[in-house]
Amino acid sequence: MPAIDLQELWDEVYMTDDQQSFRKLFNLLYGRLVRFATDLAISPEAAEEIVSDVFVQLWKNRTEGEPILYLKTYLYTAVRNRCYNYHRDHEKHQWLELEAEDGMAANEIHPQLEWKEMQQWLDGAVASLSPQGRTIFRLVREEGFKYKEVAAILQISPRTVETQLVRATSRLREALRQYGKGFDSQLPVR
Amino acid sequence: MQHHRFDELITAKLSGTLDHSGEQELAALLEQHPEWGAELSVLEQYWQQAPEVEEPSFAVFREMMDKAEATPAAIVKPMHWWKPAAAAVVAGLLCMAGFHLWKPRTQPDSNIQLVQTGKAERRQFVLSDGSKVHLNASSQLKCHLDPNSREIWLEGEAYFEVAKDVHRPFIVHAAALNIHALGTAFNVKAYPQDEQYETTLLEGAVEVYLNKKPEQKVRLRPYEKLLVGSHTALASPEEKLVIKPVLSKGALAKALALPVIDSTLRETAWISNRLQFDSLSFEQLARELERWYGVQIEFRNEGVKKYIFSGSFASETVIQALQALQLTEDFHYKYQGTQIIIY
Repeated sequence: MPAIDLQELWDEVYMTDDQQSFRKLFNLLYGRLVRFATDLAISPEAAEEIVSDVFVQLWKNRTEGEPILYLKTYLYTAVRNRCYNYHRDHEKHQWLELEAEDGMAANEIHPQLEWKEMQQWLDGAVASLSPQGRTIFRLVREEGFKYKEVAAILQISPRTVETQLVRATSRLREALRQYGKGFDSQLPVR
Repeated sequence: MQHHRFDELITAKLSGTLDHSGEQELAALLEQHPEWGAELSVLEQYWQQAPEVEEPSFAVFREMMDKAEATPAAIVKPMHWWKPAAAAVVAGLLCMAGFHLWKPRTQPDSNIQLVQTGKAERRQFVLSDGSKVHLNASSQLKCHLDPNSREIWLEGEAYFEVAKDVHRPFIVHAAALNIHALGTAFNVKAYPQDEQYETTLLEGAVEVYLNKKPEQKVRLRPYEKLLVGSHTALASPEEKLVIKPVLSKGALAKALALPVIDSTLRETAWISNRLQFDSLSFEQLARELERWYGVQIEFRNEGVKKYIFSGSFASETVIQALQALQLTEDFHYKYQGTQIIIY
C-alpha cells in the first residue's frame, strides 16, 4: 500500500468530494488503524469507534483548514491522540511497561518446519513483545513508516523507536534459535 | 556483543535504513558467523510477508458516513451584554464628534477616507498629508483632512507616524480618548470589546484628554503609555488616567532617531507582524488571538481562562500557537473551521 496512492485518493476526496475514493481509503486503512488502536491497549469495540470517529472528522473537515500533506501519518497520529484521550478519560495506563520475559514455552517446539508454521511462531514472538515494542514493529514493518514518522505518531524519540526495533529483532532471532536444530537444514527456499 | 551489533544491523537492513558502511559491516559479521546468514534470510522473508488486513464491511462504512453527513447542531454564540453596550457608546461618540463633518451620501466629501480591516487582516497606507498609518485587524478608520485640520476617528488599533505640520494639528478620536499630535509616532488601541483603551507614544509628544474632561489634558512623553478603563471612561468624570512607562530595549537609542517602528516593543509588535503579549490572562489573550487569526474562541472551562501567558507569535498558525501555549499550561482544545473550543 504505497503512500502515494493514499494521497491520490485523498486528493480526489477533498477536491471533488468523491465518496467512492473516500470509501477506498476507508477500506484500505480501517482495519490497520483498528489494529493500531488495539495495539495501544484499547478494546476492539472502542478501537473501532475511535477509528470511525477519525474518519467522520476527516470527511466533515475535508475542505477546512490546511491541506493534509501526509494523510497516513495524519490518520495514525489522530488515532493515537484519541487513544491517549481515551486512556486519560478512563484513567488507565498507556503502556504495559513490562515485556513478557519468556516469550515461548520450551515445549512448544514444532517438529515440522513448514514456512507457515515458522511464520506463526514468529508472530508469537512479536506478540510477546511489550505493547510499545509491538506497535513500533508493526508500524515499521507493516505500515512502512520511517523511524521519524513513528516517533512523531507516538510522540517518542526516534532513538526509542530504533531501540525497540532492535529489541524486536533480537527477540525474533531468539525465537528462531528456539525453533530447533532442524531449522538450519530446512530453510525456506528464496 | 557481536550478537547485539548483528541485531542492530539487520534491523536497519530490514527497515531499509542500512547505509553502505553498515552493509560492509554486516557482510563482515556474516563471514565470521556464517550460521547467522540463515537467520537473516528467514527474517527478511518474514518481514516482507506482512499480514493481510481484512476490509471492513460496507455497513461499517455506511454507519460512519451517516455520522459524517449528519447536519451539525447550530452553534449558538452567547452575546456578552457589554459588547453591544460598548459598541453603542463608541458609535455614539463617533456620531457626536463627527456630526458637523459627515455629509449625506449624496454629497460625497472627497476629503473623507474610510479604511477598514477584517479579522486577521492588517493594512498600511499613507494619508494625503504624508502621515503613515498601520491599521490592525478588525479596525476601522475615518480620516478627514483639509487645509486647516487633520482629524481621525478610530475604532480598533492603529499606529500613526504623523507628518509634521505645525499649522494643522493631527487629532485622533478613539472611543473615550482624544489624542492631539504634531509630528510624532504613536499607537492607539481602542477595541470596543476590550476592557482598556490605550495609547503609547514612541516619538515626539502628544496630548490626550477624555471626552468628559477636555480641559484636563495629559501630556505623554516618549515610551509612555496611557491606559483608560473602557467601562468607566465615559461614565465617571473622576476617571483616573494611568500612565505607565513601557519597556523597550531601544528606548535610549531611539531618543534622537527618526520615528521608526520599534520592533522590541510589545505595543507595536503587531506592525512587524508579531503578536506579542505580556502577562495576559488566557481570556484576554483569546480575544487577541481571535482578531489576529480571524477565529472564534470559546471557553468551556472557567479555570483555564485565568491562566497567564507571556510570549509572541509570528509565523505560527493558530493551532501551532495553541500547541505552544499547551507547553506552558495544561488545557485542551478542539476546533472545526474557525471555531475553537478550549477546555
